[in-house]
Amino acid sequence: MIKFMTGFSGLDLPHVIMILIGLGFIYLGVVKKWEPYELLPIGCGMVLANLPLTGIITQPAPGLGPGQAGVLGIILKYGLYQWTILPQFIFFCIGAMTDFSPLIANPRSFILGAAAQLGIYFAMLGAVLLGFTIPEACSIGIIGGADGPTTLYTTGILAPQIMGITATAAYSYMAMVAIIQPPIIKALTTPEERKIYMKPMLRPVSRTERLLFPIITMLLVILIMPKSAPLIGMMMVGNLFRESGVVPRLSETAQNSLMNIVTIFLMLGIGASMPADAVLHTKTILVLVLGLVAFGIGTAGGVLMGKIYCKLSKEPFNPMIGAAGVSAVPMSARIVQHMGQKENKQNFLLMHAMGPNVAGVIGSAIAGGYFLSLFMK
Amino acid sequence: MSGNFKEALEIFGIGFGLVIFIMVALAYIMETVGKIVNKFESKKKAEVKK
Repeated sequence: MIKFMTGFSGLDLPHVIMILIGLGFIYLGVVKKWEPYELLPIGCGMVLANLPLTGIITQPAPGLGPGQAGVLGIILKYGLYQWTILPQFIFFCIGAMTDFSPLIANPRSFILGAAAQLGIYFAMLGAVLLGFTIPEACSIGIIGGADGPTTLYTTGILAPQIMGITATAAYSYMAMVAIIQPPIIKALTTPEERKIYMKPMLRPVSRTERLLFPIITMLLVILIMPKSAPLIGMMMVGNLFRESGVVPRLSETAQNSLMNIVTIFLMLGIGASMPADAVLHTKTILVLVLGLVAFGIGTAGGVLMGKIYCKLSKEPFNPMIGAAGVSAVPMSARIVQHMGQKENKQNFLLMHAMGPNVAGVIGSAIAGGYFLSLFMK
Repeated sequence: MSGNFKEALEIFGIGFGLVIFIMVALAYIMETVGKIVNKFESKKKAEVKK
């Protein structure tokens, strides 16, 4: 007798809720045009992952017959959970896309980028207090770096069971920088400090410096923190491709085609990592709140370091720039520029803020590398 | 204080300390590299002018 089951027989309330959330993401991406490159594929992945009896998120495993592993399951296993190659490729592409000149011209931006990682560690402590295991707490803390690929890479290895939530939190908070950061910046600075004028231009950076930067960063960071190699190493290789000028086709591919291809797999994978049973529990709300706290404390850490600079520096220094130390590139730098212009029309802080902004990417990758070195052999 | 929290505090201290240390080292090295490269390049430019 022929046995046939429709999907309706497996449909239950949690799956319906997740499908509706997925459709909501698609609506926001398509109709409201909010971060469509992220929300549309994440929403699609979420809907597909929650349709019953499809097997589309079944991961390859010994004993499975031909065709039994689903396409999203294959992306999850090799891209995000076990081999975690997608975040590493994203880092390669980011390296090829990033101009580190503002950081090279003003190396003290490194310290602002470091201070803004404070949120990662505070949120990690908070997560432990709330009963999460230490690997889970590290994965939640890393959301505070506002660095999607680092969050994915760290969580994929340390706590894949909360991957969907940490990834969504990281990307959502990155998209909500304009809402989260300004109140924190305003609360920690006086109107006089926000008005501080800085010369708009930084010193020119030579090609030699731009070539030496990825090599020095790669060697120093990886020698101190070997487990950060998959992130820092890939990013600096991508940047060296860009700055060398001798492989324009490779650099161009990394910046465009490869970035787009990896983004498709990555975002579909994030959506697919959210089947109802992995998301609909109280832990999810805690992760979202802790991620927000991490992001807020990271911003505060950067601004407070900016205030210290403001007091110590011989040149005028606008402390708002510190807020760009979280690695939401370039959104955080744009927020600082926007707020600076609002307070003082003569002020162009964008290039000053880009330094800590790209330093933040390096800082969060180092933090991620440290967490991994605690648990990986 | 639970054992987990003590361990987390240690991770906080060492981890954040390492981030600061590496970033300060990078800042110092890149500052020095910038000075050396600029000195070398301006010397080169002056020689070409001569």
